[in-house]
Amino acid sequence: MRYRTLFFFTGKAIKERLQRIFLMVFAVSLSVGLLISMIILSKGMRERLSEELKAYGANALITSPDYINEEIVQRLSGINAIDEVLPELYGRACFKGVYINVIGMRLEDMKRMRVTGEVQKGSVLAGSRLAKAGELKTGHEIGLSIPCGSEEMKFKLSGIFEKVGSEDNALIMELKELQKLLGLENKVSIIMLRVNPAVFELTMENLKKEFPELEIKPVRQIALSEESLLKKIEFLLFVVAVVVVVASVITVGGIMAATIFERLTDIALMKTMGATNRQIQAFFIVEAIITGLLGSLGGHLLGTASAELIALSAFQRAVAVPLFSIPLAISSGLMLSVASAIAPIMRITAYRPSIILRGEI
Amino acid sequence: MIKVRGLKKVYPSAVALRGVDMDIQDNEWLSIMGPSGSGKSTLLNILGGLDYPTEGSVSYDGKEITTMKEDELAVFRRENIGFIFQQSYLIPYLTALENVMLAQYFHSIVDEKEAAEALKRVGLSHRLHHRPSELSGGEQQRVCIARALINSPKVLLADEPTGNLDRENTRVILELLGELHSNEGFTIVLVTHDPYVAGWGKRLLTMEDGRIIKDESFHS
Ligand SMILES: Nc1ncnc2c1ncn2[C@@H]1O[C@H](COP(=O)(O)OP(=O)(O)OP(=O)(O)O)[C@@H](O)[C@H]1O
Ligand SMILES: [Mg+2]
Repeated sequence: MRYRTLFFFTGKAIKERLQRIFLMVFAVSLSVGLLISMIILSKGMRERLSEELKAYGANALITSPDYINEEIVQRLSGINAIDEVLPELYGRACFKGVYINVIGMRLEDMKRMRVTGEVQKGSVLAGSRLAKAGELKTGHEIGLSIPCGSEEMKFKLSGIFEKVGSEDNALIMELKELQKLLGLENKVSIIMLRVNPAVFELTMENLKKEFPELEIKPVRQIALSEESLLKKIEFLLFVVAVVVVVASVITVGGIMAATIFERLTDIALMKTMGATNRQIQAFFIVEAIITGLLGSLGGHLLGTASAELIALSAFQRAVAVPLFSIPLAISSGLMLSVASAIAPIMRITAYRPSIILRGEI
Repeated sequence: MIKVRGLKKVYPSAVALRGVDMDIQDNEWLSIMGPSGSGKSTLLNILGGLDYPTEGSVSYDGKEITTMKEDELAVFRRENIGFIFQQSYLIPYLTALENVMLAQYFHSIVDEKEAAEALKRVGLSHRLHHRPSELSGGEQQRVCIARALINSPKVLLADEPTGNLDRENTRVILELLGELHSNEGFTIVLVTHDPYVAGWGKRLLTMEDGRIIKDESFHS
């Protein structure tokens, strides 16, 4: 009941100064929007980078003129300095009369990719370009044969994945199943490794000694340079964000102070009626909360829209909007508007009503 | 009873009160006159707990208010004091009814019927949903009276309440105050420059240069 009355009177006050409130909501939206778009973009960039490196952070690659025995994967996994081991098998199979590339991966490694639909055993994923060309939809049945014309093995299409480059034209299936299909039991084509960077050189030496028959190459150079570029861009974004947030705190604070000081006599009057400072402050805090919430909402829309626009023009592709950006927008918007309201509210409620009513302020 | 003893108020630039002593009885109608700058408003503000004196004491039925903290004073005001000023301070974006309800809100809970009833008693039942800007000066002042009395205060403090009104509206306001005063039995302390207005009281204090120089009672 009391809260309803509080909201009633605050609502009246807001309706009276819609223009000011709108300006304030807009200022909050701008800074929240910037924050959100920065976060979406830098997260998008990271994802993008990790896609291009297949598994984010893979810094070594093992290849061989021939297929690699899968028991090597086991041995590599047992080495402490190696954090991740990602084996892949490449092959070709006949689909509707043409040969297409098929990649075999372990189920757990597939989870890293951007996929619509689920990764399941007994099913395949299609690259987006292949899916488009063949008008493939999730749920379709895919018959593969080797060589063309021989008996088909049936797979269910359980999803579409997106990747750059030639893999867009490929199918991905479970490693074991591809091995069976190709008759290459326990074989893989390449193994990507994530070697602990602290002991990278030493580990590479040891690997070369232990597996002289394999080619072991660092892919660290690419990874590092992309990572440092990313860091630089993120830092730049961060600096811009700080500047804009500071500017908008000042703006929001200024407008807030102006709307509060506008009501100086109203406040003095409330005090003569026996309002405590807390009661008066409650009005303004509620107003700031409403402003903050509206600003968060606007900011989130603004932020995601501009991030997508930038992503589309820079990466030719939309980026995912992380779910946590919503609570982040709300909390930053609330903090911004409430924080900038607190100083003027404290200052104004500290005045004695007699001084205000004399018209001295 | 209100007891004022040795009340002084010193500003860096001026001395507003130089030692005021007085007793105000319950249900009394007291007028205060005096030249501009003699300290009338300062005295009224301290009486109502809107300001602190530099020295001296003010007690209501034995309860000292000059040592109360701000929040205590706020509670004291909402329970005991109604104010009216020369300007009819009303919240511009609230209707007459809502302005009265705001005083209820700070006091306890809002009661629309009671607020409407209070406006009816000041003759504004046809103006409940008008904003201050849609009311005449006299009507605005009557809203202020309804608001000041909505929580049944013991004391009504009025600082030149008719200062902006013409004779006819002044009479209406004073008649209204007189009626409410005799019905509800609150104390009135009313500051004015107008001898006609002062004449409505039963007692007249005259101030000059921060002191009370004359204390007269009228018997009628
Ligand atoms: N906040 C203040 N700061 C400085 N001086 C003040 C303040 N309030 C009042 N005074 C001074 O105290 C004296 C008394 O002021 P007060 O307002 O009480 O006079 P008043 O009798 O109400 O006058 P008026 O009839 O013009 O309203 C004046 O000299 C005034 O300038
Ligand atoms: Mg005065």
